[in-house]
Amino acid sequence: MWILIWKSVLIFTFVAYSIMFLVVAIGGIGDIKKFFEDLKSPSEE
Amino acid sequence: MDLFSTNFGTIDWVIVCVYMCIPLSIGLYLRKYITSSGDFIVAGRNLRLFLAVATLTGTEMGLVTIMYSSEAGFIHGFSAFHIGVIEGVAVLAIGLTGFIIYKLRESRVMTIPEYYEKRYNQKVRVVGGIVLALGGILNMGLFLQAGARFMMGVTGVSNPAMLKIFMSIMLIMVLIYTVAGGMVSLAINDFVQFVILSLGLLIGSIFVFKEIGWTTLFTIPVNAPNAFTFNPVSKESGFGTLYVLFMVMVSVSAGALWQTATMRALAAKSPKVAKNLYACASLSFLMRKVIPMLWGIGAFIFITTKFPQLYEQFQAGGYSSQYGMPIFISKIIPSGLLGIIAAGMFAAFMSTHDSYLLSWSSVITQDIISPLRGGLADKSRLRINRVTIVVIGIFLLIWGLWFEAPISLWNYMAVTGSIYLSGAFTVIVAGLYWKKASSTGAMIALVCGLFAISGLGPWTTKGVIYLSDKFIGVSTFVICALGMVIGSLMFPDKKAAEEVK
Repeated sequence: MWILIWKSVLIFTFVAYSIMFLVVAIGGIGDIKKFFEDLKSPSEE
Repeated sequence: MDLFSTNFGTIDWVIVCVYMCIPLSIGLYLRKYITSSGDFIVAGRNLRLFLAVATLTGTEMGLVTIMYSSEAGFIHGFSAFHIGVIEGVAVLAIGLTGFIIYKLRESRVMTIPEYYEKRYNQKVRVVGGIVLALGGILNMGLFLQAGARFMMGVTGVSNPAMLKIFMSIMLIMVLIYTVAGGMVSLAINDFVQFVILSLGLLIGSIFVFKEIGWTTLFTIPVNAPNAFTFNPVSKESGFGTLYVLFMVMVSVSAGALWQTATMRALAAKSPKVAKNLYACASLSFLMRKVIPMLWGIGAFIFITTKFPQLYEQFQAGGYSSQYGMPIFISKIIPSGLLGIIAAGMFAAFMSTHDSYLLSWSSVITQDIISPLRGGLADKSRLRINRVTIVVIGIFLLIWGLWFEAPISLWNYMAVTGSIYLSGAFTVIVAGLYWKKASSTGAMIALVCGLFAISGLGPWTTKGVIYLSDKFIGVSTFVICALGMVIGSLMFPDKKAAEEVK
């Protein structure tokens, strides 16, 4: 039983994390742009 | 085959060295965005969901995480997976329910002890800050050592003197960009490190599967010790039911209240983003344990079955089991790619160190020095924060050079983490959800957490007096909860909880 559980955990981890990685990496680039817009740069002070 | 023979070549050194310049440049460039301690500590509370997930993953998936997880896999086989599963489920539950983190983010505090003052009083904040800083700094005490061991294993450098040199160089790199850029620098660096490290782990795993094979991976080697097994609640695994219970307590409390992770929730754009952040990042918490454990299991099978003479060298040399995984990957991953993976691991090292340094320095500045001095000007806070980061760094170097844990690296992390978590979890949960929670009860609970330090004592190794680290860990959580309840009922606060709010 334990072997089956750990096999499922391993497969789930790889599939789910790969998808999350792609989504976060792409979405993160957009967030970085907005992050700098939100931060006050010294020139704006 | 020599134990320390490696595929790591000149091209890999070049890749690692070039990569090392990236965070430094980012840190120095972003220095101009730091105009207040709020920018330095919580980046002006501007983190949106994806960036927050990336930075949380970058922080919590450190090289030390990879080292202790792979060590657990190397020693305990697949039974170690339960630690990752419990952690992933605990963080998911926190994300879905908003347990603790939603209300904490709503309260707009910058550090956890700051909440202590809002809910209880300033004394609780200072004592809580001291306990947090003590537990937190001890917790990261072996980060440098583990990181340097990884670099030695991968690069094939076996001279023990090099450990000190690796540790010093790695520390200086992190200090420079953390002192310069604070949370703004951290967020961007962590994003870069999230990408590189994730790719490194996913690609590296393909080589592990290719080398060991899916069927062999799930076959226990004939010469494996009893601890290398599948069932985590069996006695032979070295874990057992009590240990699993300890992991549940550590995972729930650390998931919600480990300062470095909670800082991301506090820096999130809104309480809702903080909640979603945890739900999404639960996958990272699962992955950060499962994939390195897989590598550790692969390392053990590779060394014991394919090259048993290496296992003999391993045992004869008395090498720490932490060397298993780095030695393994340095032999199966080709040069070039090995450099990228080493850079990814180095990224993991830096992304964790920077956040931890920032967290503990913030706590010392905001929650210990500032209240004791009756408040500080913003510029002074910023300066003290930066000085504290350097002081902690020096302590880590000394501690890492001289201290060798009597227990496994992961258990060292769990025990030192419990010093703070056992008390903090009780104090915050009671503060948020129990109107009768009083400042005296909170003080007792926080101080009781110090009992967890005994989990590092010589009695944790079998002898005349024997107390297991897991027993001490579980007991500490129970004692803290009892201290909070009894203290609050016997010494209630004059003001009602609602009035304090």
